[in-house]
Amino acid sequence: MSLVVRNLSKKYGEKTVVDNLNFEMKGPGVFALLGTNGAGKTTSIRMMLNMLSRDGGEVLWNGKPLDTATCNVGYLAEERGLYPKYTLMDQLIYFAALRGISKEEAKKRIRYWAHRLEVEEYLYPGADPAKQAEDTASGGKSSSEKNPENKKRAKKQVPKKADQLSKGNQQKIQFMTALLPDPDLLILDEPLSGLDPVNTDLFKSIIREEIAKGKYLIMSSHQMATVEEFCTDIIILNRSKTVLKGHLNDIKKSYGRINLSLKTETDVKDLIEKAGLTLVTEKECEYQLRVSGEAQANAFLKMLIEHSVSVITFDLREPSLHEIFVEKVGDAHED
Amino acid sequence: MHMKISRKDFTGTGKVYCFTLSQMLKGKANVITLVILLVLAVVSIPVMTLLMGGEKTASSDITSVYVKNDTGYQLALEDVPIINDAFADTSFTEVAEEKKIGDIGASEMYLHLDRKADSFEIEAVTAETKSFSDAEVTQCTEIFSMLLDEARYAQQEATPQQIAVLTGGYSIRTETVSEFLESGEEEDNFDARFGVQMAYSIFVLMLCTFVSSYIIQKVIEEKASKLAELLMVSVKPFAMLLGKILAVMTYVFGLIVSLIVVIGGSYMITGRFIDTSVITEQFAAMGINAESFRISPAAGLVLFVSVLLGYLTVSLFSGLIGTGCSTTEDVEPANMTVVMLVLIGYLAAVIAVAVDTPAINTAVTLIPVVSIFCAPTYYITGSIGIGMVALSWLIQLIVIVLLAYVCAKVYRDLMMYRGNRLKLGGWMAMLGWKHTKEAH
Repeated sequence: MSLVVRNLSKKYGEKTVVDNLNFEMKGPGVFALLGTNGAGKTTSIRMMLNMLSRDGGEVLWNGKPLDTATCNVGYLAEERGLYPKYTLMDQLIYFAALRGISKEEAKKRIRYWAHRLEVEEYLYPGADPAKQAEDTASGGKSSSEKNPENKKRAKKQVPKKADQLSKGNQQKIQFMTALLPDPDLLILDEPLSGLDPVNTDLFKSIIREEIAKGKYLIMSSHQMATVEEFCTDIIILNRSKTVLKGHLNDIKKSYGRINLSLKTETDVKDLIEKAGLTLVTEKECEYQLRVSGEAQANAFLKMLIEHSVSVITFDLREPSLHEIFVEKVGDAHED
Repeated sequence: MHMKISRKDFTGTGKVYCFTLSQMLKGKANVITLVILLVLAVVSIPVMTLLMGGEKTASSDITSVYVKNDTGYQLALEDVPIINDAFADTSFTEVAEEKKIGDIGASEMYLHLDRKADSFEIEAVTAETKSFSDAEVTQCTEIFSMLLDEARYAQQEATPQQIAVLTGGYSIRTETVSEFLESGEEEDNFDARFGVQMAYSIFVLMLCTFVSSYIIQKVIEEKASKLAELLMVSVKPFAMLLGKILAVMTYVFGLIVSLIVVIGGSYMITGRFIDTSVITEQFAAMGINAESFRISPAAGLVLFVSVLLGYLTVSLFSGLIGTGCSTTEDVEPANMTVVMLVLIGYLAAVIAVAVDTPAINTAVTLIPVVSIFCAPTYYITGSIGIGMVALSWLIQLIVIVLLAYVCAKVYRDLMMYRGNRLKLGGWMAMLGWKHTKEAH
């Protein structure tokens, strides 16, 4: 399977919002679509999924135009939404039905994901949580369906509607709708925004599972650490144009190891200045420095030793994605 | 831009239809509205009857009638309560001998029907201390006069229709010369046309105004809930719109028909306890009577197709107007746009009936929004022929296809549109007829 996005373009009047976007996913993995606010990430995703008309370009899945007939897509939109006044179960069954999933199969999948995303209490009100876990494991009928006592309890409990859920739990339900069709291609637009650390970890663990299953993921996010954690390939957009594209490790290697973290027991600002290094930040003898390369870093280390400076940390590394992003987008802004 | 409608565009319509309809039926607000409307429909007839002066049907004080029939004709005594339900509780018994006369009670009556040389005689005998009025005696004898007539015609092998013609009464009108010159068949025809037009128009008006409000709400619901993106991954925008429109059309049609059925049922049940003739008379005065609703299958088909096409036109238009809005605050002005258009059509149709010239009739039959209200009634009342109706349908179909084309062209972008309610300029830009940023 492969995904090809070729020359994707969009204009609103005279304003170009996506300018010749090109990228390719030849195998499973995570592709990051990065950019500043208004760079055209969401517009690109919407065009890929045929939600917006394109002014040019094509999107191919296995050589055929991408749509629900050619590709099983799951999508978590940036604009999270659920019907506020309909029960969650009705909505999930409807979303599944639209993807051609039978009611019985949908119920099975909902049960699995409700357990996995820890939202069973909202989907199966009145059911015994311990029994629910058992039911999920066995894949059988719910405890409320089998046990008359639970059935009575479930009747007393009104099924939950979306507007009765917290924002985080709504996001879990929305994530569930993206996962229900067991998609080959999963597009996640800002998947972790607004989540607390516990739920962030929960989402991350599910994303890891999907990667392990060999799925194709496209992720748009402003959380660079998260992107770095999952993504193999990236593209950075700024003001509708592609400013950087490629394999993340290759990009980092191309920059070389230029970030130096240094911790000493004494103040070494004079030496830093003497060695011609760029001081990025400094706090109580902890320095973040920018070097031109390994040779300059080694020469600086030698200098520290010659001056009998007691070194606690000397860590030379490649730039982070955050730094690359800021540099690229900053450069483009300056242009 | 998406220009053509293909089969793919309809995929998922059924699922959207089922979900929307089921949620409409489950919705608390809808259930409450439905219950209130049905309760109002149930009580409307008795309340109207009482307010308009209806009284409980007076049951006759005559408990038993003994009938000695020497006419040689078989009388259908079981038909007496059908002819006059005041005698529903009175027992009618055929007797062979006159000896019963001496035993007649205060609430009893003896009737002797006899055949003379060239006529018939009905003789009524009551007790000296009878407990009922002379009017009741007259009513009873009139009924037997009718039964005897029917029996005579039936023996001559007359069909029920022929009997109805032969026994049909006369309406007598006394008027001055000027009244005579002003009145006539023309006026009766106008009354009938106006009445039928009004009844039909109110039905269509209710359908259209209800449907526009519901459709706009349903379309905005997805945009306001930020669900459009999620749904558009799974279903084509046109199928999404069509499924919703059809579901709302079904719901509203079911609602209006239920109301009509309940009102009809209420009329029939009320009639068992209260004299509802006052309502019948009121409707008759407006030209609406049972005869107005007795239409041929062809006329029924014309009515059905016309209502369906008109209903679909208004629904598609409402759907489009709805997608031009982004928030629930926009529902009211958007709905007002559609309702105003429908009201203009309604008023034009009503005025056209009053003016009633061939040129006006033709014009209003061919103007889409107006033709919804008048084309079928003009056909039923004989003002236009089937050719004109067919032409009116054709124009209506062209409008529907145009609306569907516009839907297919702009609905996808409209679903993603966020901003103020689209004005004409925005619509034109969306359609590519004008280049402006307003549409985005």
